[in-house]
Amino acid sequence: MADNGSPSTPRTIPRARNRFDMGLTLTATRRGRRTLLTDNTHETPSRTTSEVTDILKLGAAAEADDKENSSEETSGICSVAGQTVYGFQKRAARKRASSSSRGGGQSARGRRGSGTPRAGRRATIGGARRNASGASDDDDEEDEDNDDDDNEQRPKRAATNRRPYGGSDGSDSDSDGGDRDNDSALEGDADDFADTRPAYERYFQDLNGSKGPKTSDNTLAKLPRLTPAQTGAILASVPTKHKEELALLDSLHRRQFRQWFFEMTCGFSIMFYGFGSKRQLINSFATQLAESAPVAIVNGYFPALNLKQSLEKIASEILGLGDTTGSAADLALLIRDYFGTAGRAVDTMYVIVHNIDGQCLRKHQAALAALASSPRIHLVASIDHIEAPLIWDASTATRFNWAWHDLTTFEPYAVETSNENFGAETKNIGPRGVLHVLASLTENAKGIFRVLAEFQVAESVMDDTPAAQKKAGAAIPEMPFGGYFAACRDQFLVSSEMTFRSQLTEFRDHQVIQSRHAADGTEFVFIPLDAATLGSILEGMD
Amino acid sequence: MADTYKPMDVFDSMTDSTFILKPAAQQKGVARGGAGKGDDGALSANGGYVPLLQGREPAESVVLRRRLFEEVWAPLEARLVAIEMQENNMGVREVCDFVDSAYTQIETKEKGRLTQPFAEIAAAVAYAGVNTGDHGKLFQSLQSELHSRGHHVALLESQYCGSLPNMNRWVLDQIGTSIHASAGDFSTAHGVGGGSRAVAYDLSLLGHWWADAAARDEAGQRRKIVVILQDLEGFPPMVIDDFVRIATGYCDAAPIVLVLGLATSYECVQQSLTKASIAMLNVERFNLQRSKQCIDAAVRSLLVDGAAVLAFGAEAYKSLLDQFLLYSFSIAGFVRKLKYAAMDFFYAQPLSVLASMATGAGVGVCPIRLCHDQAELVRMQRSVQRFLEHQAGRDGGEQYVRQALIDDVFLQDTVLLQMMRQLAAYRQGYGVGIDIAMEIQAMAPETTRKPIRTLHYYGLGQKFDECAHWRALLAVVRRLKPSEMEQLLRGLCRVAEQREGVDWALVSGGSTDVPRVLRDAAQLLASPESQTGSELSGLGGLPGLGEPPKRSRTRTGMESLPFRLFDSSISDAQLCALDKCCAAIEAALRACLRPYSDAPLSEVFYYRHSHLLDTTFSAQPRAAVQTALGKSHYYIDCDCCAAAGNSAAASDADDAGYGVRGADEEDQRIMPSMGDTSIAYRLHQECGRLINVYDWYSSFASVVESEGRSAHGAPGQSETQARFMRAVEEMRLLGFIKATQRKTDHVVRLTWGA
Repeated sequence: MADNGSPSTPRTIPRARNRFDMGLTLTATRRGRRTLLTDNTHETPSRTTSEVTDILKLGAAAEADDKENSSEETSGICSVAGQTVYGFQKRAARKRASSSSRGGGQSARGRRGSGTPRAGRRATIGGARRNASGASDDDDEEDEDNDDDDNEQRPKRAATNRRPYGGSDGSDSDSDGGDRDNDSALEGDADDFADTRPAYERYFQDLNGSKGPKTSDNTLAKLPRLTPAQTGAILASVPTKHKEELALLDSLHRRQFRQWFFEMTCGFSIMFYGFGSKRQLINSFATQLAESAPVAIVNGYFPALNLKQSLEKIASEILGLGDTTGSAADLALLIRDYFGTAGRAVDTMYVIVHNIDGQCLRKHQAALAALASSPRIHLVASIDHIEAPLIWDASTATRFNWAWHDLTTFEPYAVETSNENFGAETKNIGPRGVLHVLASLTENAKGIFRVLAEFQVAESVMDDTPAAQKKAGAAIPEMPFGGYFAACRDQFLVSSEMTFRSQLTEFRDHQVIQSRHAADGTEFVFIPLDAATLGSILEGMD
Repeated sequence: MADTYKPMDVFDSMTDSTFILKPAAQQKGVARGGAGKGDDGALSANGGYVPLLQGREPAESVVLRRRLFEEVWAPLEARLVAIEMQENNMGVREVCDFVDSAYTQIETKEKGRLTQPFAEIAAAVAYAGVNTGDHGKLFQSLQSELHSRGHHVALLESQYCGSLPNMNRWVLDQIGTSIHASAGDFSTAHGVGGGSRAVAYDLSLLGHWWADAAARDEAGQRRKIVVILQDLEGFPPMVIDDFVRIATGYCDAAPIVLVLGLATSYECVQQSLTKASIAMLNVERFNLQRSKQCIDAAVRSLLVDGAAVLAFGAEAYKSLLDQFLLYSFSIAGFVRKLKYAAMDFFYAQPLSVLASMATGAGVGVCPIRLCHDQAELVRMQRSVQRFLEHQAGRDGGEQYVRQALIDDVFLQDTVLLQMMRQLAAYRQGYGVGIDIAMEIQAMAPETTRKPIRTLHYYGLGQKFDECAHWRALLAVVRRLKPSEMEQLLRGLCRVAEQREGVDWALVSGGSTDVPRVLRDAAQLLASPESQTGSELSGLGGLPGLGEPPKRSRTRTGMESLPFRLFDSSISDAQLCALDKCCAAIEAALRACLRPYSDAPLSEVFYYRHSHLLDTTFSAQPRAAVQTALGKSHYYIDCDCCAAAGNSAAASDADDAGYGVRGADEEDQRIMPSMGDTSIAYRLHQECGRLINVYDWYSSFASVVESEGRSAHGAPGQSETQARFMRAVEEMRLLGFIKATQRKTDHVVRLTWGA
């Protein structure tokens, strides 16, 4: 620490481009606070060594620069491609501080930000890693990103963060190998906020990069699994941030209820947008609306929403029309026409659609627009997806006749996201689902499942490669279809291939077992769960 | 999942997605009237109007505002509908005439052509413009016009005609309905539109019925079956193709006429139909796009002529025009904004009760007494202050002003009345000014002409001397020959005098009596010799006029007196008269086209909330969400995030000596006090396309662990994980990221930029 902290001779690094030519890598912030040079072609076994190497490389880079720039060498200013960068010596000290902390030392924690909340400012995911193919770009601001492309994309943790980079504890990082150490040393303190290139440039750089972005191989398997119930219980106990401000915001929104009502009576449909769950606020508005006219509330976020059934319910319960048939569009026309007839029992109706951009409603916008086009049906809807307005063409939007209102609430989307299962891909039904399916199957079918499950567990035990280093899809051992059938037949679980296939179809329908075809046409089957989970399922079956 | 799922409230269920709430009265089986009629409900009381001025507005004022909106908007809406109908009818009539003479034209006018082996269908391709939102009205008026001429019409929309059976069904249903209404035998004879048996929707039904009807009804020979495809672009090309082929088969039996509505271009027909089916169509083109003319008529009627009590300020009018010109030429969008502005005016402007004084022909008395707050609000308007200052300069002005400032009754009964009269006079004078400009434009070359909507914008947004267009118009005037000038002045006099009841003494403070000035100029031009010598010599300062016999014909006089270059035969007296005419016209224009901000009470009656119109009708949900997540303090002005951020910035700048950072960089700080989703959002902004969720989690954890400095202590691992999971789910719901199969536990970033 002490050695590295002593001031070394300031260098001038005039052209970042030249260093690319030398195979060196540069990290420079646009804010002009620090620069970091290193040579990615050499792996450095330890952090201290890498620090020294960096300094050396820095010097080498400077000496290799154009002669015309050499006069600036003593100026103490690092000019990168026409941009002045101050104080990279401080940068080196910072890097050391962070690298020391990464090595498990606690001393570095206080170096920066301890006691001040700015600690969080340094926390990044390392997302600004980009491909170096554009190294010849003239824009000096891109240098930082260009040079980063050889590094792996991963979070750069806060300078005050004791947790080692890329892992939740110190032991994790050891298994990742030396190159990770090197990378994290580089990345530990880089300032990615500094990237202010136009967004489209960054997008195309990413898109057209020859190697594509690289990210680390960490998986969520490192985290304990939380069930939805546990998650719900935990989240319920978490204190709300900015409680008073949000309460004020809520009360301001509630003051507008009568204005919204007025707008609806004038023929506009109300559309709410903005961040935060708008469900409760709109429902409370709907409850007040229901004092004067019937209200139908449709939860557009509901994953199994069927608009036809919803409209049937509206037709039967509000309008008293029984035996309705036809598609959702027909029903919408039927309801609209009802409100055009004289002498009807219901004069006005309100329809509330939470998340009109919901998955199940996206193809039914025309039907909803037909509803909204009736002057006696008042529509209130909300959207959450940022690109939601794209679902309407000009004529549909005209029929809706939206008046837009910003209803930012900052409320958590507890209900709207309750149907999603984070961590488990939608294709997987999870261990509980598997047990549920197995409980309703015959013994033979269970046996068929057990054969494959035991095979996968055994294969996983044989394979000692760390899970983190496996590629996606390769983590789960697969069984060739022929071998699987033979194994089941040997155990007298099935007698013919036809029976076997019908049993497999059952599993496939419930997504318990999946299959894929290899390049040569061979069919492989597998259960999309890891060995530990399978083990617990097998125990549960017993 | 079902066993653990606990509904959040009564409107949340694991199995049901639709909930019905009924009013208590209806639950008892009592039908109720409209929602607006209920007086007991909190929302519907007084139609949703609330007392303004912090609730101190008198109840009768609230009621008056509500009544005024209904009284003002209903005739305006009726007028807008009438204008649109009138403009639409011009094109509609052409199409109807075409339908009337469809097959006779093919037979008679094109004699000498070879007999085709197949029948051709008469087809009108109607280009209706890109404003698809207005097409519904346009084609409905076409439908009703055709109905009134006795044709059987089916109006089809692409959303209901995804396949040929559906299309046939809609055609037969609609034709069946119209036939049912007129003859009453179609559905019963052929089983369409009723009965228990499933109907085979087939065009042969149409053919049979037509043969029956034609045999019975002589008039049926002249009738046609018109099928209107409102939005051709939306129909699947195969469906139209098949329909055309099938219809060709029945063409001999029943005279089917197709009307193809287009929004893009005529080429669309060639692109969507096959050559074979185009060959079966005998196509004629029509242009039904009249939205610009419609808007011009609306602007003239409502805004320039002052039919609307509410006028638009420059900014709001620009927003109104931009919506029209830059988006979709949509009349519906224009009307929508106009209506919303009127709603906002009467709902949120406490002085909108003054509109009651302006309704009708002249200026009347406000039916209610203004409360003190409203009177104070009137006094606070700058234009009112200017008016009072102007009054103070007159005899007895001080007393007048003192009374106006302290006496609410005097203010309402005397001062407001005067100001309203002056405002009304200004608006009438402005209308005359725009008419004068239109008259001058009629004499100007094509390139100088602007539509009235643009003239109105110039009139509102720019001062007279700063506007290039007014200068260009005056330059046109200066180039006129005496005969043309005479013609122009005749027109201008007519324009200025056709408006009755204009109090020219109030327009521009009485300095210019526009009709008299124009009349005098016309008389002067008619008899230029009547000018005295002193009047002629009075213009001696102008180049060339000092020496009448040797008039210079150089280009130097081009700008001021260019007419002398063109006509050498005119006398000096005529020249002088022409010059005076130019001056008179300029004076008239200048007097009429004063900026509206000079008129008293312009702050009240010239609508200014362009921002409200923009956010209500051109909302940007993505920007709103990004602001809420990236710059939360715009929504929640909290102390914790801002103060912490500032102090951190200051100390960081001090101890490191990096210099002061910009405000935008401070915005980028990630504070543990921020919302979880906000933290996750900011972290994800630093990523490339693929984001490793675990690493994201690590960064998230490193931020939220700093919360430990608060009283609650650092959050545990489970809590952090749960909060992170919620944040990621929310980001997925919002559309910032999506799941991917490309790599385990990765998500794809979807948005780029702020």
